Amino acid sequence: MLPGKYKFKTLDMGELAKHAMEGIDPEFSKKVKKGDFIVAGKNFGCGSSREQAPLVLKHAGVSLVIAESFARIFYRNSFNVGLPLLICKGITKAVEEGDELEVDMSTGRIYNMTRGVELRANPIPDFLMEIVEAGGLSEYYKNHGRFPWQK
Amino acid sequence: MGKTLAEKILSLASGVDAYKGDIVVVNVDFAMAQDGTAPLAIDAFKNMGVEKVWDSSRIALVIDHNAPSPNEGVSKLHKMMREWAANQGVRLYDVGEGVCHQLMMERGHVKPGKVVLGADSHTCTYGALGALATGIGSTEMAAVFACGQLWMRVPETFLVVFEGKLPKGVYAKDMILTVIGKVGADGATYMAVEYTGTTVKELSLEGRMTLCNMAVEMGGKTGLVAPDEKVTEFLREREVTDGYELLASDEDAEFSEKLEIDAENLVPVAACPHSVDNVKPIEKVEGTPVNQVFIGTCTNGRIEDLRIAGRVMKDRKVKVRTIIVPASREVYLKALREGLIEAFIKAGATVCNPGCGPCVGTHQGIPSPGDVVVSTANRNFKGRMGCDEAEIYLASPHTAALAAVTGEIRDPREEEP
Repeated sequence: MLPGKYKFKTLDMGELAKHAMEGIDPEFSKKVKKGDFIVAGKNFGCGSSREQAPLVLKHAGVSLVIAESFARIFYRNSFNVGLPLLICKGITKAVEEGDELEVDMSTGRIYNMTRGVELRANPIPDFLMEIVEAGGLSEYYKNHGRFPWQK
Repeated sequence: MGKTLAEKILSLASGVDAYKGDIVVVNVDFAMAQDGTAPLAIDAFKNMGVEKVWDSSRIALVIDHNAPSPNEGVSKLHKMMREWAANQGVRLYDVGEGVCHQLMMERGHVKPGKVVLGADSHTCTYGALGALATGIGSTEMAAVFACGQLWMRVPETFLVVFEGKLPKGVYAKDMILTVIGKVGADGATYMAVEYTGTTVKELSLEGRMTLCNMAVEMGGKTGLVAPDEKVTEFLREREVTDGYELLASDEDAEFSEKLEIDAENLVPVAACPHSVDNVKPIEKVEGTPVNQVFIGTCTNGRIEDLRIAGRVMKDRKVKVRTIIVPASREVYLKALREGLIEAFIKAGATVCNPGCGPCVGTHQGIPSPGDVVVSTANRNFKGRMGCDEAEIYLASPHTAALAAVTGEIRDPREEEP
């Protein structure tokens, strides 16, 4: 998601976002528009336990990642920085680059408007949606004075 | 339906009847961060505006990854940790005490049946004491510091069964590398890897720590061994005599995957450059010339590991740079009393202060381009030890020590230490 050599150069996320996904698509940061989704295969986020990974995607404009599966710490870090994720088996066969998708994160319903195909993702648990809506875990705490799993 | 050990621990910690796939909110029994992750966690904690940690007796900070500090930038981070710890009344293990995971277990912070979290990938090591222990990121650790709770998804369990007696020259490190080689780096993603069988029962507690330590290298959330009398004995020595339960998976628990291994067919192996699942039998890499050997870390830096290395190196001279790092002050003292440190020094090895040493590539033995390193650590990715063009082979302390005195990778079954 972010080649290691850039990780220590700067803490300015806007600057780092220019290098997002550079390793597999050098044009990614230019192609992606605010609100776009990433659709991915298995174990997305593998090898990353640093929060820069989801942060850089978020700053590049990505609003959601839908994947066959995610690596564990990336999954948690992503919600904590305010980037939602959906787990959807079979998504890679149902979507091509450029397709328009309609997504309901609370039910997990994904409708590929370009191809007329509907899929079901695992819905995002309520409290994780609350973290995303606040913009991240720190923001949630500052707004509510508690964490979403505390009642 | 019966429950797995992981399901039982998470049910207890959340007060809910939990099964795999469920999301629960757990009470954290103990939390730890090290000098690579604590500074960010402290920043997040301050940014959230929290005044006091939830329970200062249940938190520990450890300075081990860069200990002693190799530059001013790191020193400032260490200072920030010390100030915050003093301000909050939280214990801090400073330079020279040892590796965070070794200290967590030695100092009685881990109890069977409890949930323990660490801002470090190899927190899963504590599964050897029957605790559910896993790694989390810095911002989440700040949240745990603040409230002592966290949400968790109850994992499926991957059961690994070893039966039979280990052949000579084959150790816990070879057992776990063999599993990772078969299962792959993402073969147990999100799962609790539970180790069982007669071979595991026979393993010492230190051997079980090695098994659990590397569960994360196959994507596992945690590693687990059902606790027995070896655990109670270890805890008694640490003056932990109550406040815990010895649990085990039920007979009718549902395991999502199972791998059975006949221990008698195991051979010494090495994880070859540049991935942990690139595991080959030692005979395939025999004769590879070596430039540096590193014996230590949370995987294999304990007294039993140093004893094996000491027996191999006694009255011999090393042919290559050999860096030996006891995992804690306690291990270091034991090694001193047993004459091991003297044996290492006489052999020409370099003994460093307890800590992570060169494992993370920041100090105490960064290799140069083209170097081949045999290491008892748990990761060998490109650039892991600080040099992209070095090659790292992961192996047991016996294999590593033999490489030190011969200058090449050799089969440890050739000679008995």
